[in-house]
Amino acid sequence: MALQTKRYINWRNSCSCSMTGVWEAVAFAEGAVLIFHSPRACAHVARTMEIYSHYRTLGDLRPETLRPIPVLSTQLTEKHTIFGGGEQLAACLRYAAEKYKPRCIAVANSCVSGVIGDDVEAVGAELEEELGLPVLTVNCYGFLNTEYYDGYYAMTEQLIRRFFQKQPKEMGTVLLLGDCGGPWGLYAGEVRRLLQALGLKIVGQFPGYMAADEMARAARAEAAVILGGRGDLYEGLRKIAQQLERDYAVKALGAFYPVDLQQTKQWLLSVAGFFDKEEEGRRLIAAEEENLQRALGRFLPVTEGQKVLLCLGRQLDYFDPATTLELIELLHLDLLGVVLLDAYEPAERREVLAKVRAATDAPVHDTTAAEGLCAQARLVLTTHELQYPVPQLFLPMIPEVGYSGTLRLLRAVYRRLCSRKEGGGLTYV
Amino acid sequence: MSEKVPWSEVCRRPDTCALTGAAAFAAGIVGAKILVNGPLWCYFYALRYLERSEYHMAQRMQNSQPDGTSIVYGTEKCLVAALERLQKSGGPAELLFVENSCSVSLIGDDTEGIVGSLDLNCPFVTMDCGGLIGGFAEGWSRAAVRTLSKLSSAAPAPERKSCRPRLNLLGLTDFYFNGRADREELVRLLELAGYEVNCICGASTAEELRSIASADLNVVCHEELGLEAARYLNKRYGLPYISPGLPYGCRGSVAWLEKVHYALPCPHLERARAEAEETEGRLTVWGNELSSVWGELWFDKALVAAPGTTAHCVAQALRCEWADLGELAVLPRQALQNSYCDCADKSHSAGEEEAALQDLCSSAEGQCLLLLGSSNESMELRRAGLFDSAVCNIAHPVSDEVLLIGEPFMGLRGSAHMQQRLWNAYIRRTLACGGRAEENFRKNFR
Repeated sequence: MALQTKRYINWRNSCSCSMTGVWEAVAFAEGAVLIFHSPRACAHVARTMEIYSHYRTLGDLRPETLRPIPVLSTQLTEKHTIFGGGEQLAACLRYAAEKYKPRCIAVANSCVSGVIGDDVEAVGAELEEELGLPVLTVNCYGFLNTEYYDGYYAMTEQLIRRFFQKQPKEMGTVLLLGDCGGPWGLYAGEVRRLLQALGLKIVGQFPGYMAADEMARAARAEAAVILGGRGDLYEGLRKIAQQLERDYAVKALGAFYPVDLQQTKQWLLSVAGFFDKEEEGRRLIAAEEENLQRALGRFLPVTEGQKVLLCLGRQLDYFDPATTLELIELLHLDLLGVVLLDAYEPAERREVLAKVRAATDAPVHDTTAAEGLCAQARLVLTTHELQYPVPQLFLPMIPEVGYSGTLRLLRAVYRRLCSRKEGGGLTYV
Repeated sequence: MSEKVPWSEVCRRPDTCALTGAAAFAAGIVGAKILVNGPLWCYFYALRYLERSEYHMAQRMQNSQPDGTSIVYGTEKCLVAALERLQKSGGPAELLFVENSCSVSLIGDDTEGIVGSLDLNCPFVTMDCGGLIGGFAEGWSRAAVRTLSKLSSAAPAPERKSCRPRLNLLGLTDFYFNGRADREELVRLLELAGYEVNCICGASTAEELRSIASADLNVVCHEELGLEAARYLNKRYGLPYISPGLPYGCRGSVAWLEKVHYALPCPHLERARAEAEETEGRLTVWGNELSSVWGELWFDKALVAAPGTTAHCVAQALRCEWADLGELAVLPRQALQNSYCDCADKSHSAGEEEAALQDLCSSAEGQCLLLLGSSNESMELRRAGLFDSAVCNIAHPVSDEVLLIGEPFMGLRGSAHMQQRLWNAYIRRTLACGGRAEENFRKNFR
C-alpha cells in the first residue's frame, strides 16, 4: 500500500492569501493601523497566526518585545456585495483616524472586495486627502492571482516610498530586511548574533517591525542583510534591497543566505568583507566550526550508522534537499533512500529528482515502496506528516539558519535517536 | 446575519468564519466527508481549527483549491476533480457536504447542480457559507438547518427502543474546547435521570439525523448553535423545544435537569439529585481542606470569555458554586436570545473584547485576577504584564494548556474537574507571588 501523508495540498494553484502578507508587513509597525477590507471573520486568520507565533516564541523562551498594531475590519456583508464596499471602507478609515490618531493606515483587500470590484485605491486616495495622513493601499485581492508574498512586497514598497528618507551613513550598521519569524524568531536571532559577533550594529528589522519615524531613519544603515531562503520566494526581497541600494545607498548584501553550513560560511565572509572585517570573520567561522565539531563529538556515538529515510513532498521554493542530505552526512547516518511523496506535479517531481540525484547516490522511491522502508528506518526525516507509526522528524518550513540552526537540527535528530520509545510520533524542530 | 461589532474590536476576536462552523457541523456526522470549494488558505485554517478536536480530519476534509481564473470562469473543473479525489480516499461517504467560501459564493456557480450531476452514491448537501454570513456559530447553525431540511424528510420513525421519554440534543459539538467530554457527560446525566437520547444534532450518524423527528422534545444546548434548528424542527414537525442553557456546577446541573424534567418528565430525577448531593458534599470537604492551607478561593476580578452560552452558564456556576469573587464580567462571543446568567456585575456585548480586557486589566496592581477564556485573552493579559493572573481555558483557541483525558467541564463530573482546575490555578498563582515575595525578602535582609 502506498504511504499516505496527513494532508493533501496541491501547490499548483493559489496557495495563500495576500491579506496576511500585507498584515505581516506592518504587524508591529508602531503608529500604523491596518484595515482588512473583508468580511469580519477574515481577521481571525491573522489573529490565529499571531496567537500561534506568540506562544511559539514563548516556547523558545524568546518573548515578543514589540506590540502588534490595531487591526480593524470593514466587516463586509452580503449587502456590500450588491452595493459595493467603498463607503464602508471610507467610514472605517475615518473611524481608524479618529480613534487611533495613527501615523498611517494600511489597507489589505480580501478576495470578496476583488470580486465585487471595489476601487480601493481611489477610496484610499480620497481619504488620504481628507484625513491628511498616508493611506497605503495595494493592488492585491486575497487569493485572486496573488499570494501572501505579493501582499507583503506590495506593502513594503509603499512603506519605502512613503517613509524612507536619505540619511547620512552610520558606520558599521545593518538593516535586516525580511521577516522569517520576526526579530524574536530564530532566523533573525541567529543573524543578529553573528553580526554582533563581527562588531556590527543592527538598526532594525524592516518591514513589519519599525515605527514610521524609525523607517525615516532606516537608510542610515550602511548595508541591508536579506533574511532570505530558498527559491524565488525571496526574489521580491532582493528587488526591494536593490531599490534601497539605488535610492538610499543602502548596500544590498544578498548574494548568499546563511541557510546551510557552506552558505553560512560564504555569507559571513561576504558580510565581513563588506565591512572590512575579514579577519574577524575568519576567527568567527573557526570558533563556530569548532563548536559544531564539539557537538558532533557528543552526537556521533548515538547517530553513527542509524538507518534513516528521507521523505520529500515540498516545493523547491521552500526546501532544498541538499541541506538535509548534508545533515545526514554530518551525523554519519545510513540513508536507506529518498521517497518522493505524491504531492508533486510531474514537472516539479522531475526537478526535485534532479536535485536529489545531484546530491546523493541513495535510491529514490515513490510512495508504493515507502512502507517497507519506513519499517526498516529508526527515523524518517520528512516534509509531511506520514500516516505510518514510525518516528518522524518534521523538516522546518522556515530554513534553520547559521550555525545555531544547523545545531538545532543535529540536536533534534540526536535526541530522537536517543529515544527508546516505541511507535511513531512527530517531532517539530 | 452576523452581528455588527465595533470596528476596533475585530483584531482581538478569536471567532473563526462560517466556513469553519459549517464544516464543524458536518464533521460531527459520522462518516461524512467535507469539500471546501474555496481558497486553500481558507480551507487550511478551517482544517487546522477542526484538527484541534479530531486529529485526522484531513482524511475526510478536502479542498477544490480554485485559482483566480476560476472566479471568472467558474469552479466546476476544480470542484469535480476534488470530488473525485475525495471519493477515492477512504471508504464511501455517509454524507457529502460541499461548502462554498465567500468569494466562490459570489460568482453564482450551480454547486448543487454540479454535485448532483455526478454519480456519488451518497446523499449530499451544498451551501454557501463563507465569512459573509458570519462566524463559527452562524455557519454551524445554518449548516444544521440545511442538512436537516435535506435528511430529515419523510423518514419513517424507528421503533422505540424503550418506553423512556425520548429527546434530541441540538447544538452540541465536539469542536468546542473539550466538547466531546462535555457531550458524554451530558448524555450520562440524561440517561441517569431516565431519558433516552434519540439524536445529538452535531454528533450523530446520518441515520439518527433522519429519525430526529421521532423524539418527544428538543433540548437546545449551545443556543448560538442549536436554536435555529429547534425552530426549524418545531415549524416542520411540530416538535416542542426548550433552551435551558448548559449544566455547569452541581446545583446548576440539577437545575438544568429540572428544566428538562418540567418540559418532559423523567422517571429517575432523584438519582441525579442524589449524585449531585454526594458530589457537592465531597467537593465541599476538599474545599475546606484546601482553604486551611491556601486561604479561601477568592478572586478580586473575574472575566468569563467564551462562546455565548458557555460564557453565560460558566459565569453563573463560577459565582454561585465554585469561587468567591469581587467582580464578575461576562464576554460572550455571540449575542444570545436568552440570558443564562443573572449574577454578573457586567455583561459585555458580543465582540467587546477590547473593553472587557481593559476592564479586567485596569487597577489590577496587587489584585487577584481570574480569566476563564482562551489563549486569545490570556495572551493579552501577558502583554499587559499581568503574569500572575489565574487562568483556566474553557474555549478555543488554546495554545498554553493540554487536556488529554476526557474529563468534562459540564455536569457533575465537570463540576469536580472545574473546581480542581480553579484551585490549581489559584495555588500556582499564589506560589508564583510567594516566590517573588521570598526573593524580595532575601534581598532586603541579606
